[in-house]
Amino acid sequence: MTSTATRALVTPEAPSRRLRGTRRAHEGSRAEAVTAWTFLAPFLVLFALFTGIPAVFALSASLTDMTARDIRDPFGVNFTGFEAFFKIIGNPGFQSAFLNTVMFVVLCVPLSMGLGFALALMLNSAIRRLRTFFRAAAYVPVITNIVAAAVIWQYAFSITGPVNNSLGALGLPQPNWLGDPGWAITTVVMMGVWRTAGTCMILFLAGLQAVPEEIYEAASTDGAGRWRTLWSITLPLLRPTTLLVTVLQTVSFLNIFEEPYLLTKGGPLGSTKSIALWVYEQFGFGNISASMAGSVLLLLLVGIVAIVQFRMLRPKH
Amino acid sequence: MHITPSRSRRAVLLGAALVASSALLLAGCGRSGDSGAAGSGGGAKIDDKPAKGTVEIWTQGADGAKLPDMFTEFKKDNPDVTINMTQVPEAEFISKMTAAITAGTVPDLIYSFTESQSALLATGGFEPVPDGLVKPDDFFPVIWENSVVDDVAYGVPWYAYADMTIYRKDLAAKAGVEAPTDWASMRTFGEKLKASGVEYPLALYVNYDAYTARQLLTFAKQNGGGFISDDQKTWTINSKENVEALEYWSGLIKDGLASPDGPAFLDTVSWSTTGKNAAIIDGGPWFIGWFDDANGKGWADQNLSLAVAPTGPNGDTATTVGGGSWFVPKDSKNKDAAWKFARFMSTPQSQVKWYQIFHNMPALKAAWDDPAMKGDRVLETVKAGLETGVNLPKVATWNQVGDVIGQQIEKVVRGNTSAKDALDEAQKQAESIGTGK
Repeated sequence: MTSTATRALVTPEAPSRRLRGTRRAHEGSRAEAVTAWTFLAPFLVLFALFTGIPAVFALSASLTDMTARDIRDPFGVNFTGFEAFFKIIGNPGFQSAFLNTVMFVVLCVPLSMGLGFALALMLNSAIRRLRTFFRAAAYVPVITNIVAAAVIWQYAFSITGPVNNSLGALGLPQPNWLGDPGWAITTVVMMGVWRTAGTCMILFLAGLQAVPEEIYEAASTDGAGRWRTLWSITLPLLRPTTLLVTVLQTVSFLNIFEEPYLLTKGGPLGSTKSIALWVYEQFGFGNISASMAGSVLLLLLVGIVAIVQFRMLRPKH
Repeated sequence: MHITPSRSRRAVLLGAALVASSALLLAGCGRSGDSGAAGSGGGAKIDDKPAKGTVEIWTQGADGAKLPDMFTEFKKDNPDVTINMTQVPEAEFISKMTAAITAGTVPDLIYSFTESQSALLATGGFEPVPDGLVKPDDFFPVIWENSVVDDVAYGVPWYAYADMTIYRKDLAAKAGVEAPTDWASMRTFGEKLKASGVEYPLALYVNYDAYTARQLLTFAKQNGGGFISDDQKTWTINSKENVEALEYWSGLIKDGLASPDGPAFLDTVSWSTTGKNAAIIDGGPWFIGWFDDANGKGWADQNLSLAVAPTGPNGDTATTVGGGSWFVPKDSKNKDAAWKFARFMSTPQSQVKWYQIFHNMPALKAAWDDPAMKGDRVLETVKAGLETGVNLPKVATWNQVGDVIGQQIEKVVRGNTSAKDALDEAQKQAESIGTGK
């Protein structure tokens, strides 16, 4: 939206002594603004109803001592300032959920992006036959229903499940995938990577296809080898895509919920409990202010991380 | 992304607006003294005239599917009533109900399982049972009392169940063991089965959540312990009796008589069918039907034996029980008809009828005298268990405290934490969580 349009909206009664041409132009942009706002209206209404109002509620509730016992009289609660925030920051359960979440991000983001990038490179140049098939196959986990997938993973990785049976048949050790803290984290990370690598692949593939062929031709004329081309041409030109994928993946893994919730319920010994899962549990326990404070902190975390990433990976002019 | 000055100014404005509106919302806040449960006694008396109007019922769990059969029965004497039923997924029931109470868009009647009643009642969104609607003494006390808060009853009991020991006849015969009757014989029972080749003789509930805590509570009660004082005000989680119970329970796992990793609830039947387990300790009566579903009709009769829960070292009895009761929300638009349906469901005829339809057992003692309820070993075992049923702590924070206890139990089983340290920690956390009063 241009600033003229804003002014036109704010001051509809334009001063009368104006040149005709300017006035007409003004009216034109005003009509444009009305059209724009009309088109935006459905989104704004939905946004206000389902994001804005709940966000205000969450923020407000996080500043009180609200519990499920107050819901018939939501205003009959005490304003406690940032007490809920200090309380949860000092809560060992929240601290461990925070560390687990950081760990999921640190492990899952590079792994899923690496895998996605490798798949994209292969599909872009190496694989010629059945390209569509492989592309679809790599994307299937993204569109698979997460609940159905988790049930299968849970079955496959149970101590007596097919994965361990196969390992046993090969004479390999059979870890307790879901019952041992270290292995449970591994399983959740594997599922997270499995489920999101396809998205990374599609985005990288789009980025790769936007790189002009001539540049590669020029590079090859200059005698650049495969790795040199990858390092000096492909990666720098993919910078905007990489930025986008990094931010999307980081945000999605900061909010990780389904994988641990469905696979391990956050266990064993709380080793896979993420912040989102902790927030969900607190809400279930009726600790509304604690759970809202947790989600506000999570939102802040997501915002800060996204801004930092945008700054770090901003295109260099 | 480059933030232009005007955009960032707008962002600041938006933030300011959010804070201002929050402040406005909060300005009206402040607790108004002690807003406890509604006063004594029930609401208006419910007459015997036929029910009228529309009744909106929310159900949860599998029970809802067959409920319309009972609506048909109810309509025979109440032709002018219309019943609409909505099935709500069990896992979402509390949050959905909580939201409905907040918004005032409640149904006229719901039923709630014993585990979630305290949390629901804590919202203050339900009507007391009207005076004279039903007689409290007609029901098993363990179910009736579960929905009594500060001497006010809120729920009309619908059905009840009691857990039991369910074990494989053939495997027990092979190992030369009889049904366990107390803690000592349960251990020998497990050891002999283990010696005869069963990998994990006993199935315990090892999800380490509030249900695991509930199982520990039953063992604690068998040892004269308990999680909360009789007035429901003080947590007593780390008492000596409870520590001993946890040592016994976790000892079964540490000595390889039970697995720390399973069965999870839904694969209980498969673990016992394949002979990986030989006995379900503290198993619900529904498992018997599930064995038939999985292995063919008559399998359970042929292969399974049942026994009441074992007694503790000093002969104390305790059994895990559960069930469901009917509740009428305060904002219900047709309380009269809702209570009439709840009353109808608690008559001996309806209680027996529902058992025949769905195999849920009567919460009404008199219904057990019906000839239809005689000569069935499952029923007899359940009835014996109901007499020694254990109540969960009746506080709004039980689910959270139960979860804490479950987590601490896991530390004993999987880690090197002692039972004493684990329950000390659970007690500490429970005290900081409180009882929600």
